[in-house]
This record gives sequence, C-alpha cells and structure tokens, in this order.
Amino acid sequence: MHAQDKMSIKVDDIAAHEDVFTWTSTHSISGSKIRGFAVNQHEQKWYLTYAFESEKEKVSFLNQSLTGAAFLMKGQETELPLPAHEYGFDMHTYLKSHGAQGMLTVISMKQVLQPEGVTGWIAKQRFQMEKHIELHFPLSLQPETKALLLGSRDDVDPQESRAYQILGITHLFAISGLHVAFLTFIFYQSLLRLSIRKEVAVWCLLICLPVYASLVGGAPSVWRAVGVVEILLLSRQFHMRVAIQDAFAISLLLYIYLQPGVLLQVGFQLSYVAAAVLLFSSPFLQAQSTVFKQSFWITFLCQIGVAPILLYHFYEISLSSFVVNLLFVPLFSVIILPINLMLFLFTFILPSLADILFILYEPLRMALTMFILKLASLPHQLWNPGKLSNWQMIVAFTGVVGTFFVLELQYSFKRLALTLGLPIIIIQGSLYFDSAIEVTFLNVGQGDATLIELPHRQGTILIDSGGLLRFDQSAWKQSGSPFEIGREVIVPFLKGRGIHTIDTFVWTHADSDHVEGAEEILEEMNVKEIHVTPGAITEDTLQQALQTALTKNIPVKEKMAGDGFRIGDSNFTYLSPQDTTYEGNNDSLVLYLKHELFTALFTGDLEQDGEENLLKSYAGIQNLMLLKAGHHGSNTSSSEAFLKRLQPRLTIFSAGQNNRYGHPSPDVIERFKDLHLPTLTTADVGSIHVRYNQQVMTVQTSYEKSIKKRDLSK
Amino acid sequence: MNCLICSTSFIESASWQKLFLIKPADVICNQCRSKFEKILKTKSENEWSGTIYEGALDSVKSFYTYNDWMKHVFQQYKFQLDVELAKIFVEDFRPLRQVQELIVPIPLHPEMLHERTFSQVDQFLIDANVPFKNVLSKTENRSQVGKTRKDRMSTELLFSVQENVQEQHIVLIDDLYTTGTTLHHAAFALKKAGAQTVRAITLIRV
Repeated sequence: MHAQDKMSIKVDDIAAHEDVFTWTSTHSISGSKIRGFAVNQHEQKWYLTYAFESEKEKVSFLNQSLTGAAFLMKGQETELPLPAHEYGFDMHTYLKSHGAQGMLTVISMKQVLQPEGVTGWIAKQRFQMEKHIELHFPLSLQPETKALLLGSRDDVDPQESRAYQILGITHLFAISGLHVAFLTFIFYQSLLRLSIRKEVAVWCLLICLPVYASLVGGAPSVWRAVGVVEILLLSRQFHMRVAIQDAFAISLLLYIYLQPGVLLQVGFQLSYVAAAVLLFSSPFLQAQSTVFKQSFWITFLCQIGVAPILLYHFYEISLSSFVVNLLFVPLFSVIILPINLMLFLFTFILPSLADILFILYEPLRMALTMFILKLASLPHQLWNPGKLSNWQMIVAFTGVVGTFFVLELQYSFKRLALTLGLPIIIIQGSLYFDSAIEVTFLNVGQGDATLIELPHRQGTILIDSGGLLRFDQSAWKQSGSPFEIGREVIVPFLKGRGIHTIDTFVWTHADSDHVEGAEEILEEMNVKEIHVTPGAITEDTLQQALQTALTKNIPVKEKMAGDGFRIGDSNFTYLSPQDTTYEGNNDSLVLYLKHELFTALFTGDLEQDGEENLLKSYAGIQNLMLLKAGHHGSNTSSSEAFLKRLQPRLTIFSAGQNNRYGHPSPDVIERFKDLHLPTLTTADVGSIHVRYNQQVMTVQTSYEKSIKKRDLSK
Repeated sequence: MNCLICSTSFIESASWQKLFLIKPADVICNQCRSKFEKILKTKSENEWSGTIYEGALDSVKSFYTYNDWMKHVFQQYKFQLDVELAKIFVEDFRPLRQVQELIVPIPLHPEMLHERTFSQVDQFLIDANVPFKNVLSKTENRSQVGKTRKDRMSTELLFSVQENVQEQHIVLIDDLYTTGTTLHHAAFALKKAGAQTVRAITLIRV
C-alpha cells in the first residue's frame, strides 16, 4: 500500500481572505451548503464552501443563476482534508484538476454584481432552461432531460446512477461527441432548409457551437467534440483541409495548454481515449460488412480502450457493458435523446401537446428504468481486480494497443488470447501472490472499521463498518445525497483492494459508530455471513442493515465467547461476550486472531468489566502483537491489568479528529507510555495498514509515508 | 496530400499502424484506391502441363486484376516512367520482408533498362524495403508483346542464372502475369540451376 502524499498546500500562512469572487459554472447547492469554484480579482481560482445562515438565504441562491455573478466574500483558507485512505477521494487532486489554488471556508457573502458578459448571459439561459424543465416536465423525467439537454447530472438518483455504472452505460447520460454531431447535423440541415447559403450556415455553426458547449456545462467530452468540429470547419473555410486526426490532436494540445489540470479529470481521459480508439480503428471498423458487426466492434473497442482508465479510477469495470451498450446506445441516441429534444421544444410551443405526450412517454420511460434496475441487480457483472498499479497499467495498455493491432492487421482472433487474455490473467493473478496477512484500520472518523485480508486471498473479514450519528436537521438543511461512511470510505477501499466478497462481516455491537454503515456494505458487497453479539439484533440501530441482510439472504449468526472459525492457517476465536443478554459496550463481540506467530485482538467497545472477564477466562492470551484498543481509547477501557498481561507490540486507537468525546483519552495514552507500549491513532495518521509476512510486521499509515518494520523473530 | 494518380488533395485516414509509424502515409486517395480490383482467390494453373516447363513453378499469386483502371495506372507507370507510382503498391509487397526465401525479380534486358531508366519490378521491392537479389539476367531483348500464345510458349529459354542457387527456396517477382511464359522460363532456369522451390508473385494477373 502506498501512503498518500502530504498536502503540498502549506497552511502556515492561513489568513483571512476578503475579496470579490465570481462563481464559475462548477458549483452546487446541497443541504445547507454551497460549494464550488470561484475566481477572484487576481484571476485565481479557489474552491469555496459556504454554509447558509437561513433557509431564506438558501432559497435566494437557488433562485438565481450564479455563474458569472460576483460576491464580496470573507473567508479563511482551510487545510485540505486528507483522503481517508489511498483509494479515498482526494481533495488535493480534485482542486488541482480544476486549477484551483486552495480551499476557502466563506464566513460571509454579499452579492456585488449580477452575472456579466457572454458567459454570464449563457449561464443565465441555462439556468432558465433548467427552471423551465422543472416547471414543465414530470418529476421522474427531469433528471434525464437535464442531463441529456443541459449536461447537468446533479439530480440523477444515486440508485439509478449505480445501476448505470454496473451496466457500463453511464456515458449515455453525458453529452457525448455523438450527441454533439447529431445536434450539429440537425442544426446545419435546418439552416440549409431555410435556404441559407452554405457559407453562412457554416459561420453560424462556428459561432453557435461554443455557445452550445458552454450552455450545456462544458464537460470535456463536449469541448472535445466542439473543438474538433470547429477546427475542421475553420480549416475548410480557409481552404486548408485538416485531417480529422490532426484536428483531434490540435484540440487535445489546445485543451491541455489552456487548462493543464484537466489531464487529471476522469471525464477528459475517458472522452479523449474513447474518441482516439474510434478514430484510429477506423480502417478496421469500416471494413465490417454489416451495421450490427460494426456497432458490436465500436462498443467492444471503446470499452477495451477505456478499461485501464476505469480500473485505475474506479477499480472495477462492467462486463455486461459489452452487450448492454449494443442495445442502449442506439436506444438513447435514436429514441430517447430525440424524444427529450422534442418534448423540450413542445413545452415551449405547444404545452398542451407536450402534456399529452408526457402521459404516454412517462410510463414507458419508467418501465425502462425498472428494466435497467432489474438488469443491474443480476450478479457477476463487474470485474474488480482493484486499483491498477503502474506496472499493471503498462500491462493493460500494452494489451489494449496490441488488440487494436491484431484487429487492424486482420490477424487471427486467436491472437486476442495473447493481447487480452494474458493481461487479464496477469492482473487478476497478481492478486493471489501475496503471502502476507494484512489488517487495515480504516480511518472512518469517530468509529471502527477493521479489515482483515488473509494470505493468497483465502478470505476477507470485516469487523464493523463505521458510521455516523445522524441528528435531526431542519428539512432545508438536509442534502439529497448525504455523506455515507460505508459507501464513500469503506466500499472504495474494498474495491481498491480488489475485494468484492466478505466471508465474515462482524458486528461487534449495535452502536452507530460501528454499524451505521453496515447496510451500505451489504448492498455493494457480496457478504457471505454476518456475526453479531447475542441479543443485539433487536436494537434499533441494526434494523435497516438486518432488513437488507434478510432480502439478500445473508445468514446472521449470534456468536459468543468460545465460538470460532478457521480459514487456512488463520484461527479466529471469539473471547467475549460470555453471556447472552445484550447490555451495550461490555457485550462487544471480541475477536482473537492467530496466524503463525501473528496474534491480534479486536475488542470493539469492550470496557474494563469486559476486559477483566476476558483476562479471567483466557489466561493463555498474552504477548499480543496487535491490539485494537477498546472503545476508541476511552478512559473506561484499556485497564492497566489488561495491558500488562497482553503487552501488545502495537495498539491502535480508532478515533475521529477532534471528536467530542476526547478519544483517545490522555490518561490512556499516558498508561501506554508508562508501559512503553507503542500506539497509533487513526485521527493522527489516517488509515493504518499492518502487514505480517514471514515473521516481519510492517506498519504503514495513509497520512505519512514512513514504514515501520518490526522484526518479530528477535 | 495530393493523390499520385488523380492529383486532387485528399485527407489522410488514421490507423494504429500509422500512429505508431509502422505504416507510411497514403499516396493515393481512397477513391483511386477503390478502383483497383483485388484478386481474392488464385486460380490454379494447368496450361503448362504437358510441356517441359510443367512443375517448374510451384505456385503463382497475383494481387490485382488487369481492369481498365489498372491498365491506365500501369501505362502511366511503365511507359510514361512515373516511378513514384510504385509507392501505391508498397502495402502489397511489404509482407515479403518477412519471408525466408530468396526474392528474385524478373530482370529487364540491360538495353531496355537503359531506355526505361528504372526496372519496374525492382522498384516495387525497393519502395517496399524488401531485400532482393538479381540472380537472373535476360538473354535477349525481345518483348513478349505482339506474339501469339503459341509463339510465347515455345520461345527458347529467356533467362540465364548468374549466381549459385543450389538448394535455395525462391520467390520470383514480376509485374504482369499474362500467359506465364516469363515466369515459367525463369523458374525452369532456376530449377535447372539447382533451386529447390520456386514460387511467383505478380502485381497483376491478366
């Protein structure tokens, strides 16, 4: 595991900023906050966050087009949050990809200027179109129409969005090059029909395309397509014919020159690579005898081409996409997009007709959504080999380019076994080589989530899933898609490691900071079995997760002291609780792991009483290698007697930064110091990764690069 | 880029081989390219059975038919001496770079070469970067044109072998295959000089 880079943005000179900022089009209002990029008077871009003071203020922001509007803002530069782990969302990269200087927390905001200039005007049109769609379209159709016509994807339902990912059809909801070509064609033909001279029509296109690009939010795919068409048209106007691949290269270079950060954006990478694949494979594609064969190969080549990029960023690719796209690409480009365009037009000129069409179209579209969700719920649609390392990326891209050559040179398809099969085998196979046992204490803020990975992928055990204590908020402050620890921290880590199956998911006890995220894990992962402490299943905090387990047919088993299981050379034993009445922390399900010389104890929220009971019943357990301290290092756990007996060589406190409980308690830290027992806290060092291989224990943390080796043979 | 045949400017198409500089840029436009007619299946030859030349040539493969378009282009190449046109067929001859056999072009008579300034067969190989060896030399400067099939089949041996070809495997290269006299004579001479196998590749089959 590679540790994350330390932030390069220095925070020594944190100063209050007061400046006039102009909002860019990249901003969003969600819950009680507005976030996004704005440019100050020195042309510096910053990422701003601002919490509204009142519902009234939020509504006033929601009801105006902000892009191009200038505000006098007071704020403070804020240290960028570090990624929770190496596969976590990285704010630093995000800001860099948008060319932003840093992050400001805005304290007060006062509008000084209405949106100005061409971009301001265009943004206003976009805003009004969005409002128009909200006013005239049925609620269920709005997100799609906004996405297809205006490139605004904020409203897409997360569940549907996930289904699109599983099927590999997310790209259909973005404005693609095909889309731009389609609209350009319609526009140009209409102009000619209106008996406008070709020369004039081309100039119209030249002017309208950039306006269109910025009207639809200016995603990289749109600018790419528009850029290429502009270069081709312009060169033709000046009687220098430029080849399409040259126009493509010019647009690429120009894009990178104007906005270097864009190289880091996934949308940019996918868009340019997919376009390049189609462009350079044109001799092969044109040689196909039927339209069906051609569309099959278009889908196939695109998916193959972008696969390494998808694996790098999302750690998984959709296998069904190869088939599903054959149906969905024509469906969306020939039927759904034109229908949306038509409906949009009718809502302006013939609203009554539009209403009738909505009555007909909405049920059909709903049925399609149901079909998509059903399709996505089928198992085994994803290949998840984890995040590709640099050498794996080289293997993957070599295979991809090799495949293009095999097809272009009309070699036998048998050679595809070499160019496609071999990289897949190498990448998948490398997962099984590691002979280490690995334990990761994930940085889930205030809470616990511990992952145990056995050597050679023999098994995966997840202990707790972190979680948030949710407080009731006024309705206006609630976000449509609230932050979820399970989905946004734990699942990406599992996927990044190439894990899609959890053999045993342990719920130590029923507190929110241990199990609130469990439901999301059950939804996204293939969980074989759940172990829970006796009596806890009646607790309110577990009900949602239990319901999900029930619908997914996952057995939930109560376990207590004495129970255990064995996978390969690894022995797992539960040491607590010793009774079956659930009374909270002291009834935490405590797991003891022994693998060769490696021993670890995961205590959940066990407190002093529980520790004493454990010491009494299991006198043989001592000289521990790794301990997860009970109850996040609270003063009520990790008693001296317990530590003296166990003598853990490394102890982990899983606690959140500046948590309200003051975990880990200074007294406890002192206790460990006095006994010369080393400790690490997730709040300070991020996720903690412990590896044990051939009698050597290595510790790596996500905030720092240093690796501590502990040779256990000494 | 201007098309070598029709001179109109055309837009280069993209391909992976060109991107990785494995394949040179196109020299003619797609329209002109599409007028050539490829031969997909070679017909088996038995007109020479029963003569002494039977079995001299192991196989013959040709790339294109001699359609009007080819006649026109070939005229421009061979008789108007437009040597650049050889580049059109680089792709066809390029695979020969990989063969293990000895590549032998059908030669021109030295006088003819002097007149024409270039050998139209060698030129294909030169442009395609195919290594070859001039093993044969022409014994008389008599063109085959204007002779009847019978005349052609019964002429005396047209070539002599200048170098040792013992135990060699040979690919003969020629521009046109009409009756096969030239190739059969050459193959016969080569076999007689000890060549083990002789096959032939021609650009055009009439």
